[in-house]
Amino acid sequence: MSILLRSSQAKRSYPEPAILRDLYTRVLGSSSENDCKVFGITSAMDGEGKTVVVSSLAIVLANDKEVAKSDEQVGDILILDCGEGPTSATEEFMVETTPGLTQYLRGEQALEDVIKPTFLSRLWILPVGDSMHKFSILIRANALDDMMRSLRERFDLIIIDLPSALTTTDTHVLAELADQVVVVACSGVTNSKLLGKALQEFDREKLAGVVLNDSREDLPQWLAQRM
Amino acid sequence: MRPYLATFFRGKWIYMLVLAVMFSGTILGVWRLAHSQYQVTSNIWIGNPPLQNVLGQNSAYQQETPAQQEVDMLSQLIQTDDFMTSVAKGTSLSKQLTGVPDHDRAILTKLRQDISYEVVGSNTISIQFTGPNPILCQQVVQNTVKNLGNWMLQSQLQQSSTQMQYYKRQTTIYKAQMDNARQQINQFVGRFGAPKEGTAQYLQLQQLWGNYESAQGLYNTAQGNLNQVSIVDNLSRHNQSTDFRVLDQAKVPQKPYMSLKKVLMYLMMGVGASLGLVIVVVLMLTWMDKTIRTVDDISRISDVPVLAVIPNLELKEKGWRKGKRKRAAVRAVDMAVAEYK
Repeated sequence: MSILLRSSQAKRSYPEPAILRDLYTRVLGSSSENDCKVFGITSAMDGEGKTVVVSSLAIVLANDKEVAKSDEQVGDILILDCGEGPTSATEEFMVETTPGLTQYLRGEQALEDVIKPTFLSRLWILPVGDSMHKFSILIRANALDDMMRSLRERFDLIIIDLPSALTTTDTHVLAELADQVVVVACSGVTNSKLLGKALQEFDREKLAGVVLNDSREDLPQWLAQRM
Repeated sequence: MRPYLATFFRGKWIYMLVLAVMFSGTILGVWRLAHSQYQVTSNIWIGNPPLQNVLGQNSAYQQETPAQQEVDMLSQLIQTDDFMTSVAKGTSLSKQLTGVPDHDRAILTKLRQDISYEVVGSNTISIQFTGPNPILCQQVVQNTVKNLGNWMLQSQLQQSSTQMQYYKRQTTIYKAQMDNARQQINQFVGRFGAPKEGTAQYLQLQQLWGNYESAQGLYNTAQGNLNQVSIVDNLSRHNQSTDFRVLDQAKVPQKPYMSLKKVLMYLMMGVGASLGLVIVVVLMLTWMDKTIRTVDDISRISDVPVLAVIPNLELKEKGWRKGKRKRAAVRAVDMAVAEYK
């Protein structure tokens, strides 16, 4: 438990596992391809909870026996941390951020050296790296495509923690690596116009859907039932 | 409707606090107002105007009661600065009057607004004044009654003089007719003597007598009216108005006063203003809220499906609920990790 939660996030709460399993099933169901291995999770702006969704989904699926292949080696899950927000998946799992993706794309590190284990045996994380310097150029190189090919062979599921869709154009480039993209919207925070713009950034076929985060029922139960 | 209610319940404690503060302020304000306002009332009896007595019951003048006529007259008098200046005379307000119309008008307007009057019965009117100074209230009502009475007296004097002239002229005319008729009779008798009954001269003489008696009747009626008006005129000239009596003198009130109706009205205004403010704020916040809150909001902007709705699991660090919420929120993580362990 203490490994999971950072001291500064001691009060963070996580969604119910059933909701996340349902999300995973729906994303798979929305894909027209049989082999949907790479999910990209983004949001319109920063601070809408996409990293929490990434972390929670990964933990639930990594711990879920139904995901594991029954007659083969237990399927591995990778979190590819490309986020630039206030919190990153790497920090959530208290893993060293370096070396990471940027070191690999610069050719300074091998792929095996930048993929880090977590407290769950089937869950791995590939941090973004030490610096976002020239990140936009690096991700447009061919090395990234090669890397994804290798990762697809090794992992059964890759969840990409994408940057916000409207704060950088890198999201559009990184989203091309994903089979399906999920946009996270935060109730009471995400502006409807910005969400509309973010949804238009992606191809309709690749866009699996929207996750409404931090939803709350403002009306009391007796009134909500009557309306 | 749902978005507005949701906006209200999101900030319900703030709105409740605003309502409580405003209502408390209203109660305090009404309480202070009720204890700082004094009211003085004077009731006046108004008799039928003399002209009405002369013109008769079926004249157009009869359509309004004397009290209604007096209130109409009073409402017009109060609109004049001269009348209000005379009302303010001898009170603490008179020191503020400088004689400059523009300056005095503001003071007189305020005084005018605080005077109220109403018809209590067909012959009774009530004059009231409300203000923070009990002595001023009594003086204003007393002066209003006095000046109204004087004005009525003057009107009565003018009216009675006009009437006297009218009836004098009538008596003169009818007297002349009477004398003329009498002269014709004398001339007829002098020429034809006393005619026998049934003759043409007899009939003519009877007609002349009829003319004389008719003129005499009219003369007597006009003379009676003239006598009546003379009595009123004499009384008026001796400052005894028969048509204006003060039933209740204006007295200095000992205790503040506010009618229950006014108290309720102010409370209702306060409640209405509070609720109105909250409603306006809720409406504005709802219209200005462009954020996504429900699945419907997402459906409105795109046909992309909503894959999951993750409820709010924020921990509330308050009092006795802390332990409960913490356990509930952490349970989700425990479920994910428990099998691993």
